[in-house]
Amino acid sequence: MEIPTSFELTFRPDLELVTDVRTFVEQLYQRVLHDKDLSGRLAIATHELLENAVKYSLDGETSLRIDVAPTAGAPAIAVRTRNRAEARHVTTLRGYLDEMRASDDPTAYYLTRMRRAAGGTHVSQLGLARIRCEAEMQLSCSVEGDTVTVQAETLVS
Amino acid sequence: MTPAFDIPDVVQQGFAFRAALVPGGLLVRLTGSADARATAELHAYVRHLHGEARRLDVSEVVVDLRSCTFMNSSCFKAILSWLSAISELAPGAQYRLRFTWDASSYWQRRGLAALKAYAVDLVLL
Repeated sequence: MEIPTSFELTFRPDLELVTDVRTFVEQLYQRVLHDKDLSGRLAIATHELLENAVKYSLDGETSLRIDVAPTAGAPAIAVRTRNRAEARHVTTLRGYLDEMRASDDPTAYYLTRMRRAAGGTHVSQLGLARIRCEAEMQLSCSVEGDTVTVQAETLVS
Repeated sequence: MTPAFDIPDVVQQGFAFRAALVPGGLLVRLTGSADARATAELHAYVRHLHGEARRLDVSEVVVDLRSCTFMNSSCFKAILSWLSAISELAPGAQYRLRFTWDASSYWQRRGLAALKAYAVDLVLL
């Protein structure tokens, strides 16, 4: 993969559109990257991040951006969602990411989240831990005003 | 005499859940995309399945995921809650979930590995 590939989509997704976009992303990057597992990882990250955006966007609008950039050793891949959000949801997100970063073992942290989810409320709060463990991507967020960007990224060997 | 079996199919746009009584237990097939549109239905369906599995005293429920194109984390939670409910039964009353899956599907491979790690004695792959 020598040519950078990226796209950005700004829309007001409903839950059905999230599935359509995930399917598009998986098929597009399977063609671009020729790697079914990698496109599967992107599909997981895209779906989980977009569903969070649908749940928590203040105005319903979300931007999805995916970048695949060639680097010296391996392609760098990033999936980003950007949306406006209430401050309390941003606080929850930051706490989640801080807790996740404090755990060195993605699988152990995912299992901890799974145990919490099994006995918890209807909200799973599993999605970000799943991206880190199953999609093998690192997560971060940045905030400007009431706009939050969540990023999942990885280098592909 | 075959015990009465009462789990209606759930068929919605984009996904379906269908169960049947088979020798030795129950078979449930999930098809389509188990995403946010399916979450409430899957949680209710799994509770119903668990009740029927207990009533029929099965030793195993086969969960066929081969035609399930994706499962989001909220639907994944339904499976976790199901496993949690099974684990709370007396040891002699517990049954196992045997997953039939597509090894070429990345989410199934990784998701089921996580489920196995979560409930090693209750999940069969």
